[in-house]
Order: sequence, then structure tokens, then C-alpha cells
Amino acid sequence: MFVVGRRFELIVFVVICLTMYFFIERAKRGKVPEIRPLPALQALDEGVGRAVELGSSVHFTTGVSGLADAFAPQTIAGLAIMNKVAKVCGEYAIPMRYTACRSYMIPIAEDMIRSGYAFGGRPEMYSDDMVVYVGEAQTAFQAAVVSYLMDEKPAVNFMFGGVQAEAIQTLGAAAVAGCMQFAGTARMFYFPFILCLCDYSLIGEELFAAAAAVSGENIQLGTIRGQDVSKFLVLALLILGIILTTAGTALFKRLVGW
Amino acid sequence: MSVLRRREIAILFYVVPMLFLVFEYFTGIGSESSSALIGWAIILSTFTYLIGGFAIFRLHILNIAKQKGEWPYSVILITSFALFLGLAYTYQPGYKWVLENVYTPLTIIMFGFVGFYAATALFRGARIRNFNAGLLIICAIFLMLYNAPIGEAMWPGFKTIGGWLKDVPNTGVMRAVTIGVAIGILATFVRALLGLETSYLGGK
Repeated sequence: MFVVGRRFELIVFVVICLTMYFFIERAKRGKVPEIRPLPALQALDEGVGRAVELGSSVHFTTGVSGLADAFAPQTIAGLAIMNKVAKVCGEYAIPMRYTACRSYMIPIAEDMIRSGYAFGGRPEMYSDDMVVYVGEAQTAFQAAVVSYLMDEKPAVNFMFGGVQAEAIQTLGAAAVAGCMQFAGTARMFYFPFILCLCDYSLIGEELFAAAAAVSGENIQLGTIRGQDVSKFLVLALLILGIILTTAGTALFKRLVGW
Repeated sequence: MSVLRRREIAILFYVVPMLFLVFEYFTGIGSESSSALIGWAIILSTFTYLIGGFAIFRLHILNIAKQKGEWPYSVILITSFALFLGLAYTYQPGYKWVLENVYTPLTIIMFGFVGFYAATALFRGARIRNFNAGLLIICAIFLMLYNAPIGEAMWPGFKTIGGWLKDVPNTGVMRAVTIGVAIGILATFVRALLGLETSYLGGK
């Protein structure tokens, strides 16, 4: 019934999913794991506070990736962080702008920012102009965002998601414009740019952990513990593979190809 | 609230196809349906261009009406859009000419800027804020001089150390990050499956 070569993959997939589920259920029962604080999330209020001091605004983008491509999980994680940012902007009464490169992101972002301002007790601050769609082309997105950052000079620039080449220009322009920067992605090619140009970063799996932690809900924290335990399982599997392969047996190779 | 507007219905629209795609990947059953499902998603997302078109026109028409900021650019945008669309349906050679001689060079210029930004990002924004950032910059210097022919001419050690940095710590870290990211994606999958991750539906 199962595709040859994917059976072992399926076992690992099921085990990891069950591990996550176990820790979510555990968190539901009150056994909430303690997690390492993520500096980027801790400084989120400080970032928006800076915008208050400067009487400026906040810019957020998830880049050109959307929900219909391979980077969708990263975009979802970026949106979870945006939900939090919108709420903080609502609390501090700071204007926020989201630049969209995918048309279907418009209603999602509008709803998120609208509910963020409503949560902060300032629903009247929301306007549809806060979500700006610049077309589906990456180059149009780059031109629009760089122009906005250089002209308006928002106090803070947030960029979370499956970012692509546009991140280089966006983060570079925001650095020149003197923005405080928060960025995160799981795309390895862009790690150096984020680390060099941003004040706070979430790289690799930190982005997914932050998406779970940002809600502050205990149940979500369960998945972070699940992630950690899954990593130990994969590590144990790697060590087993090294031992078996070094011992000269093809057992592990056969298992992976099962 | 209407049944169709309930959040659970939207979650089902996300979760059921996702489970079907996973099922198809591991069993190979329903591969044609799976391809059709992906095709539907693309078709559905194409319809959202209408929302995008409306958003662009609303913004720029308001800019022109209120003569806000750089409103002449809004005139250029709407004129270009109308011209491009008109040419596409009435005069194909003109459409091709605009595509090849206006759109493509503009796109190349923007990508040229990316190269420039990438090359100068280190000088523009890199700051030794902490030990890790310092380590990163030192490694970056070694790797730049490893890749540039002048590096080896200056000191052969740049090639040896740069090569080691690229092949040993870099490869190890890349693999570790890949494993972490894959597990993170699975965590998002499980949260979405249980209806805990709903940010793709908007605010809550």
C-alpha cells in the first residue's frame, strides 16, 4: 500500500507528529514547558515603543512568498507574528503598514490589522490604506518597499516569512533609513543578510517556535517542547546511522530506502 | 453566524486537502486527484487577482483625486496598465515591444540593484554587536577572500581556511538547520491540523 522508499519516512513523520500531539495534550493538562525566551519577541514592545517615541510608523511584510508555494509554512509563521505586532500597534496607537505581493494576502492582512486595532481599543485607527498591494512581481515589490522605506522612514521594519531576494534590498534600504529591524526566515541563503542588517533575528526553526510562542497560549508552547524532543529523536537516529554505517552493515541504508 | 462563515469550515478547507496530499505522497493513491487539487488551488488563487486589481486601482485613483504625495506616478501607473492591457488584446507586436524594451530592462535594473545591495550589505549594516556577529564577520572576510582570486595571491592561508570554513562548519550547520526547519514545518502542520494555527484566516 505504501510507496517503496517512503515507508521509513512515513514512520518518522508519524512519530514526530505524535510527539507534537503528546506534548500539546500535556500542555492542555497544565504541564506547560518552560521555553528559552526569544530576544526578538521580548523586544517587540520595545520596537513599537520606539515608533511611539519617534512619532513614526511600523512596516511589516512577509516578502513575496505566499500561501500557495513551498514556503507557505514560513508565511503562516510570519502571519502569526504579524497578529501580535498588529495588537501591540493597536495598544500603542501606532500606524502600521503591510506590503503585500500576493493578492490573496490582502483580506488576511486587512483582517489581522483591523482586529489588532480593535484588540488595542482603537478600532477607529484602522484604514484600508494600511495594506498596500504592489502587484505579483518581485521587482515591483522591491521598488515599492525600498521607495516607501526611504521616503517615509518608519521607525521599525518587520520582515518575517519565506523571504527571497527582495529581502536583501528591503533590509538594506531599511538599514540605510535607520529603521530598527526585526526579521526572520527559515531560508538559509538569507541568514547572513538578516544577521548583518537586523537588530533582532529569528533564523531557521526559531521562526516556527516564535510563531507558537507569540500567542502566549500554553497549548502552543507544547509544540515547542515537541519540536525539541523530535530533534533529540532525529539526533538519536543520526547517531544510530553513524554507528551502523561505521560498523560496515548496510542495515541503516536499507531501512532508509525501505 | 451563518454556517458558511464559521471558522471551522475554513479550517476544514485547509486541513482536508492537506491530509489528502500527505496520503497521496506516502501511498501513491489518487495522484491524479492530487494534481487536480493543486491545479484548483492555482485557479482559485488566480481569482484573487481581482482583489489585487481593485486594491491597486482604489489606492492610485484616490492618490490622483486627492493629489496626494507623488500622485503623478499614480497617473503613470494607471496609464501604463491601460496601455499594456490594450496592446495585449489589440496589437501583439506593440505588446512584445513594450515587454522586451521597457518591462524587461526595468526588471533587470531592479535585479542589478539586488546585486549591488548584496555586495554592499556588509559595509552598510554589519555591526559587531556581540561575539556571534564578530565571528560571522571574521568568517565572511575569510570566505570573501577565499572566493576572490586576490585572496590567495595575498596569502595562501585564505584559500585553506576559507575552504575549511565552507566545507566543514558551514556544511554541518546547514544540515542541522535543515533538520530543525523540517521539524518546525511539521510542528506548524500539526498545529494547523488541530486548528491551533489559524493565522492564515486573518486576525483573532
